[in-house]
Amino acid sequence: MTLNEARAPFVKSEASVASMMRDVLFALAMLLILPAVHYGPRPLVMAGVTMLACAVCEIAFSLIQTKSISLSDGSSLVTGMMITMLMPLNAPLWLPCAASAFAILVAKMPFGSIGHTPFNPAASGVAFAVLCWPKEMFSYFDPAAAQTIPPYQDFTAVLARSPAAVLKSGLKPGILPLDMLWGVFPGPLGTTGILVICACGLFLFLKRTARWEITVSFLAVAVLIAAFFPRIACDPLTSVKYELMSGSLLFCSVFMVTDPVTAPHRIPGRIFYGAFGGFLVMMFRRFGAFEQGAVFAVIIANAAAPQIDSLLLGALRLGDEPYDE
Amino acid sequence: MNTFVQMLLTALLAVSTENILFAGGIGFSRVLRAGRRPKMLGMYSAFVTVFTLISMAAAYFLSPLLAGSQMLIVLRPALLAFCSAAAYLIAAFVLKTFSAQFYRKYGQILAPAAMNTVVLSMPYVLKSLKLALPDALGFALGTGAAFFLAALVFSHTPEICRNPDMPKAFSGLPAVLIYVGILSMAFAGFTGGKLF
Amino acid sequence: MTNKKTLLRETGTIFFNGAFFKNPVLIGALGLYPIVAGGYNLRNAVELSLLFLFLTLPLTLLLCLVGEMVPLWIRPGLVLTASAVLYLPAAWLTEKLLPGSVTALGMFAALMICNSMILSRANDYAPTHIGWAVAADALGCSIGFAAVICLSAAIREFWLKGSLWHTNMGVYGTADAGVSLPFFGFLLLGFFAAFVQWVNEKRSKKAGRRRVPRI
Repeated sequence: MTLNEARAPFVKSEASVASMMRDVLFALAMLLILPAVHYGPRPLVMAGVTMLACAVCEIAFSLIQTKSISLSDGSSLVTGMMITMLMPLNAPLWLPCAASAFAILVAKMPFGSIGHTPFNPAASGVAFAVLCWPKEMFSYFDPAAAQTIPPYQDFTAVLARSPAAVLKSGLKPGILPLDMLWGVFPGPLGTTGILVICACGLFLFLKRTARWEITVSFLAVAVLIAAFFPRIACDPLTSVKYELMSGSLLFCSVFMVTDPVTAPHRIPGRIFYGAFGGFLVMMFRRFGAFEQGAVFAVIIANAAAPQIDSLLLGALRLGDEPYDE
Repeated sequence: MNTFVQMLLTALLAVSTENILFAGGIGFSRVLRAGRRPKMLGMYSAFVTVFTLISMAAAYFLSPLLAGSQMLIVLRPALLAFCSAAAYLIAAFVLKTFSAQFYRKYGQILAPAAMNTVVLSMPYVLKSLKLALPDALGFALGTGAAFFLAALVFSHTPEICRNPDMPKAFSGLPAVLIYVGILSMAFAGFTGGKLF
Repeated sequence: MTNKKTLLRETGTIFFNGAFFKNPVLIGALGLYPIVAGGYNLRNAVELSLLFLFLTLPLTLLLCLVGEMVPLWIRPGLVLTASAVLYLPAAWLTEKLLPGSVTALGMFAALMICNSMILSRANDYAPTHIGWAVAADALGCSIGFAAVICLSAAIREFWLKGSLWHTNMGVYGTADAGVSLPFFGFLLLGFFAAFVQWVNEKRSKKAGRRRVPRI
C-alpha cells in the first residue's frame, strides 16, 4: 500500500514577512476608508502615488546595485502607506514622494533592506519632511469649511490649527474629546480615525503581527505623564484624552513603534522600549520644536533598542579593556 | 539647594535639548572611536567631565586677562585649548608619577579626553568664558553624560552597519555616517535646528 | 636619480591618498564637524578650507621637526598647545584673504584648533615621517578636506537657496533650513564615503587581477 503524503490544509501556514506586511497593509488601508468617504478620492490618490514612489525608489536602487528586484514582501508598500497616513491631506503630492525617497534610499536600502534597518523607514522619511518642509507638514485643511478637494492637484486650502498645535501653545483645543472620536478634525490623514486605529491595533495584536506589550507600555507612560503633568489647565482625565487623541501618538504606538525589525526581541525589553518611547514622545511634545514629535521619538527609541537588548542579556560590562586611538 | 538645582538643570540641558553631540554634530569623530571600545567608556567619560571642569575653572580665573581685547573671538578658543593642554599635561604627569599602573591602563584615553573637552566646551566658551561654579559643574557633568550616552549608542553600530545583505559600498563607515545622520535628525526635532 | 624618482613617486602617492583614496574624512571619519555643521554654504566651505590649510601645514611641519624630541606622553599636550598658538596667525591670514571670514565663521573657525584630522596628522603621522612626506600628506589632506566640504556645501546651498557663493543661479530653492542642519551633512558624507569605498574596491579588484601572472 502506498501512502501519499499530502499537505494538511487544516494547519495554518507559519507567519512570514509577506503575511505580516499584508496584515499591516490591510490595517492601514482601513484607515483610508473614512477620509475617502468624507473628502473624496484624494486620500486614495495620495496613498497610490506614495506607494508607487517607494516601489520605484526600491527598484532603482536594486538596479544600481545590479541585484534582483524583489517587492514581493510588500515592505515598501507598507512604508508608503505609513508615510501617507502622517501627511496632511492638503499637502502637495511631491511631499510624500520626497519623504518616500528618503525612507527607501537613505533609511532602508543602504542598510540591506528589510530585516536590517536600524530605524523605521517611514518615521525617518516623515522626520526628514518635517525638518525640510515644516510649513507644508503642519498646515491642515479645516474639515468644517466647505471646500472641494481636488484628487491630485495642489490647492489652497482653508486652514485650521490641529488640536496638537493648540495644546503645544498651552491652550485647550476647541473640540471636545468625545467629538474627536469621529475623526473629523484637523490633523494628519491617518491619525484622526481614533476608533479605526484602535480596531486596527486589536487586529494586529490578535494576528501577532504587532506586539501588544510595546503599545500598552508606550501608552501607559504617555497616560501617566499626561495625567500628572498636564500641558493645559484641566483635570487629568481631560488631559489624557486630548494627549492620546491629538497628533500621531496613537498611530505611532500601533504601527511604528511595534515594527519587529527595530524593536527589542524579548518581552521585558519590549516593555522597557515601549515605556521609553512613550516618555520620549511626551518630552518631544513638551520641549520639542514642533507640534508633533512622535516620529523623532520613534527614531531615538529605535537607536536605544540594541542597548536595551544588551542590558537585559547582561552582555554589557563597563571595565578595563585597553583602547587605541 | 538652589545651587544644586541649578547644577542639575544645566547638566540636564547639556544632555537633552542642548545636546551638542547629536544635534550639533560636535565631537563625533571621537565619539565613534570611543564607541568601538565600549568597556573604556565609563573612564573616558569621567576624564571628559574632569577635564571640562578643570578647563572651566582655569578659564574663569584667566578670562579677566582678555577683557577689553579686540581679538576676543580668536583669543578665547586659544585660551581654552591652552587650559585643556595644561590640564592634560598635569594629569598625565601626576598619574605617571603616583599611579603608574593606572596610567598604563588608562593613559591612552587621557589625550583624546582632553581634546574632546576643548571640542565640547567651545560652544559655551564662545558665549562667555566665565561660567558660575554651579553652571560649570552642571555643564561638566552633562557633557560627560552626553558623551557617554552617545558613545554607548554607537557601540552597537559595527553590528548594525556591517551585514552581508548590505551593498558593499555602504558597509562600514558609510552606513555609520548615515546612521549618525538619521539619529542627529531626531535630535534636531528637539532643537528645531537652533542650538545656541 | 632612482632615489629621487622613488621619493617623488612616493610623495605623489601620499598626496593622492590624503586627497582621495584614503581621504581622512571619508575613510577615517576625522574632522567631521566643520563639514557637517559649518559647511552649509560655499563661502563658509572655502573659508574653512583655507583656515585648515594655514593651520595644518605649519603645525605638521613643526611636529615633524620637534615631535620625536619630546616624550610620547607629552606630545598630545604639545600638539594642542602648538595648534592653539598657530591658530592665531592662521586666522589672521584667512581674515586677510577673505575679510570678515573668521568673525562670520565664529565657532566653526575656533573648533579648527582641535580638529581631529589636524591633531591626528600632527600627533601620529608627522613626528615619524620625513619633511617631504609630511608636507605632501598635509597638502593632500587639505585638498581632500576642501573637496569634500566644498562639494557638500555646494549641494546644500543649491538645494536650500538655489544659489552658489550667495549668487542666485535662477533656481528656486525648495527646502527649508533643514538642509543646513548637521544631519544633512552626515547623510551627504555617508554617500560620498560610499562612493570612495566603491572606487577603492574597484581599484583593488583591478590590482588583484593584474597580479595574476599571464601565461
